[in-house]
Formats: sequence, C-alpha cells, structure tokens
Amino acid sequence: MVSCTDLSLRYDEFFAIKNINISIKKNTTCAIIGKSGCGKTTLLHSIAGLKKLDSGIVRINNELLTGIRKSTGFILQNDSLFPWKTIYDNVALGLIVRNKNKCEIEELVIDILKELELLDHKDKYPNQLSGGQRQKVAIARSIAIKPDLLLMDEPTASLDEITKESFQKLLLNLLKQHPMTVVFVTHDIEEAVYLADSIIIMEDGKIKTTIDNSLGLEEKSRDNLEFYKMCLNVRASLGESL
Amino acid sequence: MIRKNIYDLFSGLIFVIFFWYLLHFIIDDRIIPNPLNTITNTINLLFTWGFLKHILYSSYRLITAVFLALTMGSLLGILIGLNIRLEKLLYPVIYILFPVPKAAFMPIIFVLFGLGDSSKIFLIYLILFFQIVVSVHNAVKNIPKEYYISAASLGLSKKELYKHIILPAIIPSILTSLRICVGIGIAVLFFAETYATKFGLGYYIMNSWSLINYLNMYSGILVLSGMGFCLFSVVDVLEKKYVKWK
Repeated sequence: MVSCTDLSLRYDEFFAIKNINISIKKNTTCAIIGKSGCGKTTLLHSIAGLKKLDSGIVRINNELLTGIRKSTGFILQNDSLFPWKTIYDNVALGLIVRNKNKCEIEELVIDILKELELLDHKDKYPNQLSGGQRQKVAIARSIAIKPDLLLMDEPTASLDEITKESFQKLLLNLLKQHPMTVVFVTHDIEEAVYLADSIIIMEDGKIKTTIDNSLGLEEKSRDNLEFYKMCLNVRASLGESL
Repeated sequence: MIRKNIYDLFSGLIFVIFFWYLLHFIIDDRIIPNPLNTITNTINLLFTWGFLKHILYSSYRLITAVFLALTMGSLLGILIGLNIRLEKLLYPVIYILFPVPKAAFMPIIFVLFGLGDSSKIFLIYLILFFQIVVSVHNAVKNIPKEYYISAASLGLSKKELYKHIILPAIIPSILTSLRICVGIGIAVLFFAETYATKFGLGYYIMNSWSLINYLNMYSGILVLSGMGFCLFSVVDVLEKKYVKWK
C-alpha cells in the first residue's frame, strides 16, 4: 500500500529524514515513534504529499506520489477544524470539494456524525466542543471522504488521559468497521502498541528499527500482561531516543 | 440578546443626555444648548430638503471612500499576505507610508483631483486604505498553517481555499478595520468638507458656527454622529451574520 524508497529531505544542512525505506501493507496500521525532532512528522508529511523531497519516491497503491492524494485523510495534532464552520460544515467540506450532490453529502455526514455520537453537536461551532469532541470531528471529517489511507500526527497529544483512552477505543472500533491503511505519529508507547500492527522507531532522521506487533488493534489487549511486555520492548528499542 | 443591546444603548443615551444637560446648566446656554431643543431642532431640520442635501453629500463621500478603501485595501492586503515576493516588494513601502500624515498631502490632492468631491473622497480613501492593507495583511499572516495543511489534505483547490479558508479567516479583521475606518472616516470627512464646498455636514457645522447659530451647529454634529452610529450598526449586523463563531 505505502512504499517509501530512499526518502531524504534537508532543511539547509540538516537532514530531517535520511534514506528512509519503509513498506506498509494495505489495511494495516503503522505507528511512527521517536523523540521530538527525529523526523517523524516530516516523514508523515512526505507520505501525505505535503513535502517536496530532496530524493526518493513514495508509492501509494503502486502509484507514484506526486502531490496530495484525494483519498488520503489527514488528522493533525492541534485543532485543525475551521472555527468559522459548524461541525456539519467542517465534515461536509471534503465532500463539497469533491462535487458530491447535496443529498448525498447530507446522508454521508449525518451517518458519520451519528456513528461518532456527534449528531447533537452538528450545528455547533468547534469552540463550543471539548478537545476530545473536536478530535472526533477531525476524524469524522477525514473518514467522510472515504480515504484508503489515513495519516495522523499525534492525534491524542492534546487530550487528557481519560479522553485519550476513549478516543483510542473509538479509533479502534472505527478501523474495524472501516478498514483502511493508517500511519500515525505518536509519542505514546502504549498508544503505539494498542493501535499499531507495526511500530517504526526513528532516530536522527533515520529508521532505527521496526517492530511487528501482534497485539495491535485488540480491544482487550490492555488487560493482557503481554501488552505491557511489548511496551517495555518498544521502550527498550527506543533506548536513548526516549 | 437584542433586548440587552437595546437596554445598553438606551442607558448609554440617557447618560450622554444627562451629561449634556449638566454642561448646559454649568457652562452657558448659548455655547451648550438645551439637548431637548437641539433634538427638536434636528427633527425639524430633517424634514427640510436643504439639510437633507448636506446629509446625502456627506453620506455619498464617506460611503464611496470607505467602499473603495475596503475593497482595494483588502485585495492588496490579501495579495501581499499570500505572495512572499510581492510582500518583500510592497510591504516596506506600505510600512513607511502608513504613519505618514496623509492630510499633509492635501495640496497635492487638490492639484491632482481638483477642489470637488473627488479630492475629498480621495483624501478619506487614502487615510483608510493603509489602515486596511496593514490589518488585512496581518490577518492573512496569522492564519494558522494547520488550516492550510487541513485544506490541502481535503483537496481544496486555490479558488476553494480563498472561499472556504482565507476569506472567512480574515472577515473578523476586515470588520474590525471597517469599524475603525468609520470613526476615522467621519473625522476626515468633517475636515474635508470644511474647504471648497457648500454641501456636506462638515460645511453645515462650520457655517452654522460662523453664523453663531449654535443650535443648528449642534444639530449638524448630532446628525454626523448619527451617521457614524448607523454605519457602526451596519458593521454590527455584518458581524452577527458572518462572525457567529466568535
């Protein structure tokens, strides 16, 4: 699904990412983890087609990525909802620009808002919702365009622990109902182990190691001792990167 | 909400009239006329074509200048806010010219536009234009980069980016500028109407003063203030319609 070959990007003399090679299978989830400034977000933006690379190529579904794809969803760490649009209009925007007809848009948006328990808030503005609800709307907006690839940049970084956990559960259930390839950047080891099939550990713009995680996307995995062993394993792999 | 606004307005008006009465009693009946007499005189004047003509002239000059400054200033503000090359080229010029007192260019404006309406409109326009360019430019620069990333990831074209992101994001700043413009515009309008014209509220006020008709002078001031209040109310209505989210 996602294949990156020899990706490099420099800011002046500093390599943000250097010779990155990754391959992510279709309908799997991949977490990218590492300390701040290690190139996680640059890599994610490169996969999104938002960065102009110095060298290397990104292929998605065997097609060369030349810019932003219409079927890639993107969720940012900070509030990326447009404050002047209601929740309904925020979610509908991606569909409007895809020239869907009004009835189709209404049906799709209402269905998604219902699924994410946001329907009661459809006429509200983002500043009338909590941080967790706003991130749910960001998800609704991304999946409304029915993406085959969802990219998330620290989607839970601004949430408190309780909201974070319920958000992760919601994401897990959503991925079961709408299978898609997911690549996300996180600082949270538990989140990576809970949500990802594979975990990429980055250091100084390079990939340090990749860990396959058989415990990913299991709702009850947190009740399992193996889960915490895997967390320790990731932590050990992060080593000095932590 | 509306009831609260009306209540605030009413209490503000009562306070102003009370203060006016106080000055009227303390100072001098001729210099500060009785507010009730002034209001009655204003109402009577409003039914005379001679006075209405002054209002129409002033409104035409002010609204034309504000409209031109707002459209052209916003356009240039957006352009230099989005285009780095244009910004490097033009922003230093605007930054230098912004604090220059434009009224000092009045003789040049006379030479270029004559003594008629054009020079008055241009003077108001010139003063408002820079104010709007600077504040719209700042508003464009303050749009968080996350919005552009979100818009790009949703697949918005350049035209859609203007429609859905840039314009709605800068509307609050445009309306704030408009509010400031109305205040400054009226002050400049008064100044501009004190030369080479026989029409406009500025002329009417100064003419009544020279004729020592203080009652008419105050009526002129009252209507000029009323004009400002009406334009402020229009900005309020626009704000309620387009900036509901704030």
